[in-house]
This record gives sequence, C-alpha cells and structure tokens, in this order.
Amino acid sequence: MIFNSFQFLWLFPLIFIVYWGADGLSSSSGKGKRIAQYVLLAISYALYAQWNLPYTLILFGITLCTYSFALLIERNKAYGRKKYIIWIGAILTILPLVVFKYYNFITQAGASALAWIGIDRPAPGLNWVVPLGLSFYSFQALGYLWDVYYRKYKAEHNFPDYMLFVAFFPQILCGPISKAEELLPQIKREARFDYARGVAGLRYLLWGMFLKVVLADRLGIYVDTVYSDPLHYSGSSNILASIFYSFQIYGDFAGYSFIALGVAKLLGYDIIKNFNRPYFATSVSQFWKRWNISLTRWLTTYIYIPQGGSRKGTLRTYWNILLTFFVSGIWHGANWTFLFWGLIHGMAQCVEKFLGINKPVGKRWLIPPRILMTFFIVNVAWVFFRLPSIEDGFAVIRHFFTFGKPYLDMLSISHSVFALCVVIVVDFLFEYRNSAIHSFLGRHNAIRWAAYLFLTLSIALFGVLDSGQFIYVSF
Amino acid sequence: MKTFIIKLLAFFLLLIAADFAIGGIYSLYDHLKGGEIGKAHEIMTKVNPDILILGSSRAAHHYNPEILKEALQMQAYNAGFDGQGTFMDYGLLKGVSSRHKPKIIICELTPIFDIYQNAQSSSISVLTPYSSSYQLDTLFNDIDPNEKYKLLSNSYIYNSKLFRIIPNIISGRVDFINGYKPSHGTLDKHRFTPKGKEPAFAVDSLKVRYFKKLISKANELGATLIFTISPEYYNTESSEYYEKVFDIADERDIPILNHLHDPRFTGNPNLFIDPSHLNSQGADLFTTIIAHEVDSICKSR
Repeated sequence: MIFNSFQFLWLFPLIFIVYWGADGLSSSSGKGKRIAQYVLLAISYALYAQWNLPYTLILFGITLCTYSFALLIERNKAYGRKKYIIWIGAILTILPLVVFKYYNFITQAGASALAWIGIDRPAPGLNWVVPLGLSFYSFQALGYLWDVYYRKYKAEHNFPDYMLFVAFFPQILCGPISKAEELLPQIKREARFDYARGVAGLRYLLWGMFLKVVLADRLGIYVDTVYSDPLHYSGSSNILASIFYSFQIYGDFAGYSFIALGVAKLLGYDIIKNFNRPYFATSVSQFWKRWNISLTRWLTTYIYIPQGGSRKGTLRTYWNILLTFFVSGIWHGANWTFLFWGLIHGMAQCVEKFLGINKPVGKRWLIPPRILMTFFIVNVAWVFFRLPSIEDGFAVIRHFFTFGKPYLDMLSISHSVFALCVVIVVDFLFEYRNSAIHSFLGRHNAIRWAAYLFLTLSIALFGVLDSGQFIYVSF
Repeated sequence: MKTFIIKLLAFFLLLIAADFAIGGIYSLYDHLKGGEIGKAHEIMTKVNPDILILGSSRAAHHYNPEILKEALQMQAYNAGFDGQGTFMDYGLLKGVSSRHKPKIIICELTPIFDIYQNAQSSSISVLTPYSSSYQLDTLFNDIDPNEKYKLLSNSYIYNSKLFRIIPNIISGRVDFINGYKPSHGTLDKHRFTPKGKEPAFAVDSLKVRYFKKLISKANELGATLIFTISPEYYNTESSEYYEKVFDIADERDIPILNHLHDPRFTGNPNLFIDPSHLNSQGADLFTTIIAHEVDSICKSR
C-alpha cells in the first residue's frame, strides 16, 4: 500500500478500526495481545501480497531463514560452529538481494572486465522486478541474526512474533530498519491505545504527507524536466534542479519515514525517527547522524564497528569509513553512481576527521557557513546519485558553469517555493527554537489546530495527488 | 480512545467546512484573462463559436480563428490545449454544446494523445470544476474510478489551480485571442535532429472509445467534423503512426486534411518554431490553406 494513495485514505482507517477492535477482543477474551497481533501480521502480509503474491514467498523465506539460523546459533554456543552458522545464515539471507538487485550489475561488470582483456562474452541478464522493500527487510532480518550471534538479543522462539517483526507493514517498503530490541518487545507486550502517542502519530503522518506530496512531488516535476535532458538546459537551471533534487529526496524519504512513524504510533508502536532535519547538519559526519538514521546505525553496528571502527589507528579508521560508505552506496543500488556517491560521502568524512571538523560546531557564527558547506558537498553528491552514470554527473557539474536563459516553469516554481518556505521555516523553528515552539503550540490550541488545517488543506490544494511512487521504494 | 475519536471527528467537521469555503475559488474564474484555466473557463461558460478547433498544442498554436472567421464568415474559437487529446476534446465539446451547436468542428489529430497509451498526456484537471454541471462525471470516472469520490472535495477540484489563477488575475495578462496562442520565433536547425520512426505505441482502448464518442457527439450536433494534420518540419514522420485514426475516420466517412509533409511548409525553418510546431507566420499560412479546404468540403456537402 502506497501511503500517498487514495487507497491509503480509506484503507488505513479500516485497518485502525479492525486492529484496535481485535485488540479489545484480545483483552476481553484474556488472550493478551494474540488476536490483534495475528490481525496485524495478516494485514502486513496481505498488503505485501497485494503488490506481488509470489514475492511474498521471498519475504517468508528470509523470515524463516533468519528465524531458524538464530535458533541454531542459540543452540550452538561453541564459537567455531557458531561462526559457520552465522555466515551460512547471512549468505542465505542476502542471497535474494544479490540475485534480484545485483545479479545484472555483477555479470555486466564481469563481462566488461573480460572484454577489457579481449574476451568477448555477453552477460546473460535477468529481467526480474526487485521485490519491494527487499533491501530494508533483508537488512532488518540480518541485523537480528547478528544481534543473536553477538548475544545482544536472545533468539526469538515465537515464529508469528518474528514474522511480524520482519513484515510490519508501516516500515516494510522503505524502512526505517528497526532493531529486534526495539520492535520485538513491543510486539509481545499488551498494548493499550495511548492518546498522546495517537496524536503524535497523526502529527507525523500529516507532516510526512506534506513533505511527500507538497514538497517532494512538486520539486520532482522541475527536477525530472531538467534532468531528462540536462545539457539542453542552462547551467543555472541545472544548479536549481540539483538543489531542488536535494530537497525532493529529503521530502520523499523523510516524508515516507514520518508517515511510517505516524502509522506505527497510531497502531501503538514506537519505531525509530529516521530523519532529524539533516540539512541543518554542520558536517557530512553530522549529516549521517540525521539522515536515514536507522541505516547509519545498521552500518555502524554491523560493518564499521566489527571492522575495528576508530579503535585501530588513523589509517584503519579512514579505511573503515570508506568501506562502510562503499556498502552504503551499493545498498542504494546496483550502479557505479551509487558507489561513487558513497565514496564522496566517505571521503568527505575522512577529510573532516583529518581536519577535526566532524564534531558539532561550538561557535555560533561558524554554524551558517558550515551548514552551507555541508549542503554544498551533499548537493554535489546527490547529482551523481540522481543521474544514470558518473560521466553524466561530471557533465552536469561542468555544465553548471555555463550561461543561458534559465528554465522557469512558473507554476512548478511557485508551488516549489511555497513548499520549501514552509519546510525550511518549520525545520528551522524545531531546530533552533524547539522548546519555545513546543510550549507555544501546547498553550494555544487554536493555533495548533489552525496549523493542522493549513497542512491538510495545503496537501489537498497544492500537493501532487497522483500517488507518485516513493524514490526509496526502488532501493 | 474516545477523546481521540471525538477530536478527530471535530477536526474532520472543520475540514469539511474549510473545504466548502474553498469552493469560493470558482468566483475568481470570471476575473481570469488568460492562462489554461481562463481559456477552459471561457470555452465551458462563455463562447458560442460556429467553428470549433480541437486538439493538442498543434491545434492551439496552428489555427488563427480570425483568418477562419474572415474566410468562412463564421465565429471561430481555438480550443486546442498543450499536451491534450481525446478526453479534453470530448469534455470541451460537451461544455460548448450545452448552450450552442457548432457548425464545423476541426480536430487536429495527434495520435499519441488521441488514441495511444502515453504517460506524457496532461491530465484534464482544468475541467474538474465543470464535472457535475456539464455531466463530465462519467468521463472522469472512466479515467479513474476513484474520481467520483475525489470530486466531492473542493480542495481536490481546485488542486494546483490557485497559483495559476492568482498571478493571472494580478497581471491581467491576455495570452490568447479566441483561444489562439501564436508562437513567435523561427526554428534553430542546429538544435534539432530528425526524429526516427515513431515506436509502436499500444492502443488505449478508453481513448479510442472516447474518440468514437467525440465523433458521435459531433454527428449528434449536426456539425461537420473534419480531421486535420498539421505539417512537420522534417519529412521523416511516417503516416503509419496515423493508420489507426485513419481507419476510424474512414469507417465513419470523416474527411482528413493531411498536411503532414506539405512541401509548402516541410523543410522551411522560417515557418516553424520547433520541428512539430508552426510559428505565427506558418500558422497564418496554414490556417488560410485550411480555410479554403474546409470551405470546399462544406460546399460539397
């Protein structure tokens, strides 16, 4: 189910009623949370099956594999055997990801390498659709497996609980990637509807919808036009498109994450807040503490730290950073552009670490230039992320410095500027006046309700209501 | 939970009231002087042309109603819209015909918008305010079955329109005369290359249905329907692309004025602004030729 679709508008209220109705039934029948939990599991699988029924088997397969291997690890405490089990389990877990997402990339890269040494062997390609959310739920399940291996979390014995952990519908398509210690205890506990959590859920849902429909999809119109043939447009148009894309991808992914957070809260679950106003970061290192927080946490926990993190000397630290962002790049997609994008981020963080500017800024006057500098680096990296090849990325960046009449589609620009102003003002207020704004809104009900009404009407009046897909769904 | 539901319902009531108030945007429509919304409003509520021109941008920028009026001694209106085809044409014809019967309908053919599946087709959202008053509900529902629910909301009806209406009212800019929007400039040969053969497009059965309904509607009004094809700068575009519409036209005995590779235009950069669009000079020459041909057809019938 796409959150910005018409289906979500009528289906989610139904899910809400059925789920809490089942929860009430569970309590009255003395069966704790069982019925509600089964209902949520059935809904999660049904929504996934609605998109592609056969691919539900992949979801189930990964769930069964990690569940079984976690139990095996628990039963085999000897280090040597445990190590074999975890590696077999991990390989089997990521196998569908490798086949569906990276097979073509690997065979084509292999064929290119062979061609380079004079052996012409065309790569047989697969024309399969990548299962939705595969990267997200594979990583979530894999994270659980490693947690069991490191004894950070005990293996889950209840299979339906574990199935829900992997397939929980608000987060299955685009994350956030939850940890077992966060979500599994919530699945097990007997929940009661909590008013404050419900209201917070609606707020996140509304803000997420605004970010997606009003900001991201509006900016996307200009970005798609210019990037469909970037060299045909002037340098200034390309610069504007690159800035718009930075905000488009923010609105798109943060929008999805906030909606997922809101939906989860409305169902009584707290999941990780995946975004924290990333464009107010004062360094690339700080940016990654605010952007796709759950992925950063996953990469730090299961790649960076096991490699030694920053404990094995300066050079090894730099290597670990680069390796982590290599994995981050390849996770995003099977293309050299994503690897290059990861490399830019990794290198920027190494440079920041070398110069000692990776920590939050102390002096206030330094904050604006550092925010701008960080945005500049991130913005350039997004150019490579967006375009089909590294060569195209360099061509566009060279093209930034050419003159010409800017492409100004006033309709798209006016909507975009409106959305950007709202988002920048709101993010600024919550970044720098957080307690003041909370206490102000807490005291003035009318203003709070007016804000909700403004956002809801803005979505209806200014949003792109064509259920455009979320960018990160394809990752 | 009870407080939560009550407050949620209260918010929905507030939202419904606000949505109702948003319906007031329609009162601004009469102040529009230009823009797509202003043009659609003029067509749906004001003009009574004897000659109605329908089609895509190749209609909007290629037919000068003043020339048609002078040549045929009838009021003409250019109802062509950029990126539009059958659905829009049908909606506009229903709007105009609700108060006036055009005598001649000139329909510029652009198969990609008229009968083929195409993601680039613009939405017909400019017609949403007229969906109930001109019985266009069926058209909207056929395009998307959820439309009947969405159209209950004024916010949806006026979605993406406020930022188009307000600047137009403030500037008072008039960008069309009787619907015609001339294009100025000439074709820069170095910017374009001949496009190859059009790929095989899949037929959109709904578009075909409405294309046939458009023909039936014209017959029902007793109007002379004429299909036209404007010139292209390059002569590489194959007539195969038009085969399917030709078949439909032949079945119903609709005359086609095909100027796709007219040597008076094709290859002359001074008459084009880009390979598919005539400039104002080209449009005036083309309209003069079409006026004579339409006159002949009318006299022969």
